[in-house]
Amino acid sequence: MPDILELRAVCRTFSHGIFHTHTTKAVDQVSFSLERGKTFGLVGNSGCGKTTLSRLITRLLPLTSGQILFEGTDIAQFDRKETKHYHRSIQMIFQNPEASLDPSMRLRDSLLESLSLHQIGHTREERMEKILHMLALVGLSEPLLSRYPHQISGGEAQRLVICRALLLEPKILLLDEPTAMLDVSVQASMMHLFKSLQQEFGLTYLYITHDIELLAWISDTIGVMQQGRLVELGSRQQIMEAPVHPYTRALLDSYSHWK
Amino acid sequence: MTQRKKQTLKLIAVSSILALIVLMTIFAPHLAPYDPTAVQMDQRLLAPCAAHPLGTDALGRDVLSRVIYGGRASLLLAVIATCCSMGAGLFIGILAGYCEGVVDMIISGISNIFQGLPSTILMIALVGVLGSSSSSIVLALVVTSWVGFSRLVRGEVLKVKQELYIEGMRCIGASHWHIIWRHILPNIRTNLIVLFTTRVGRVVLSVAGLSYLGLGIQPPTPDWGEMISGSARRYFRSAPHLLWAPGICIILLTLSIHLLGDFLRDWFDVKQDLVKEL
Repeated sequence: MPDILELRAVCRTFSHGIFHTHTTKAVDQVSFSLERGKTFGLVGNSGCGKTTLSRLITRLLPLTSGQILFEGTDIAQFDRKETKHYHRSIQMIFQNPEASLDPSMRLRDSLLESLSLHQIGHTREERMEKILHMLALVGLSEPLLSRYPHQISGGEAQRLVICRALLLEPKILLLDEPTAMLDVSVQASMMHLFKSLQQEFGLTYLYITHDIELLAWISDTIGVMQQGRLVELGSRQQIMEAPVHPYTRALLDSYSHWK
Repeated sequence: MTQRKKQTLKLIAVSSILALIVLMTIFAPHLAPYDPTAVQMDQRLLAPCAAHPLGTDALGRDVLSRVIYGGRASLLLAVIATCCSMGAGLFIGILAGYCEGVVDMIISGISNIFQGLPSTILMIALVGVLGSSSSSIVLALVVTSWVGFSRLVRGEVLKVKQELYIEGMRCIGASHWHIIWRHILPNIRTNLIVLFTTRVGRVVLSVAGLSYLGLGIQPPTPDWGEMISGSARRYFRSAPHLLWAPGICIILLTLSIHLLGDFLRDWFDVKQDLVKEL
């Protein structure tokens, strides 16, 4: 069985200047693969290409070169129907949960909308039933649904966004700094939630962060990115205990000093 | 709290004046004591009296009846023209803001040209060439005012488009049409309402201006602008009462629409601030 998601020498360059003569390699020859049901942690400073990489995976940006394989098939060759299936299978959780909800919509409508977009459930009642079930799993209650995004806390918003993502029964969750905007007390409970959801649904996580210690706790494999390149890749143990690349060492060192 | 009370009082005053004028023009046939186009040459230029509270004009027509009827044509034209230019502006603005790139460059170039043209002169030229019918007046008004809408819409679309929730919708595979209809339009709605209101006021003034120049609504259809132009030239000194009533009506109408627009803008702003506080 092929890996659920595989990146092969993925590159993305941005050109700028009047004649597009200057190019920046935002993502340069990145290759790794996600193992089913495991967590892949991607760490690096801001501006190292993590977010561009996530935009490439969610097809918000086209690749300059390289391939992304989803269950063994190149995502560039998907037709309409397969693209839709792909969009459903891979869900993204952003850093700022409140901003990922439409401010003019009640939360209930936001949830119903994504279900109806993918034709999940036939009637409104059926969809509401699914929503309530999932809401309980992420630790929220029904009265919240009639509110607007600005009327709930950051932690609640993040749980709601997770609920919306899980309603589509995805295989991969792409977590882009999902706890960076939350209080430390809420952070811990979110991390536990991620772990329990992973066990419950057999999800595969791609966890993007600048916080290497967080990855030590949650991920199975860690990739270290620096200036668009993947400079080190290994199991959690390898990276945490015997880092090879100087940049990885620097990351770990800065962390232990701070401690 | 007193600030809000003052605001509410202002809103009530402004909207009741506006409602009064609008109702007056809608129910004109029931309110007017005389036929506004009935000529009575033996009763020319009467001063205000019991039978004619606002007097009569140079052709013996009752001024009160003409004032009551006078808002009909220009208000209707103004609302139709503003709807049309908002429709055009929405379409063009969304196209430019959503597509960006070359499409945006071309549309922005054309918009700049239109914005650079002096609108009154362009309007006079268009109506002069096409002849002054209702449709050519509407066309002239749309041609000169769509840019205001499209520029605002473009800016707002560009702003909303960068929001995370739009990106999120694309991530879950929503179509562009769906994103525009369900997420972008609802989020620029309040600005559109405010702009629409202020624009209607400006267009009413433009119609009155055209009528004053003899290019707008044509006699014998009663119209405030036309009433002023008809009497201003010859009877400004001998029968000034002919100017007051239509003049005051134009001022009240445009002022109340503008103030309502201002109020709506403040009100939506305040609401947004309150939202942030919560």
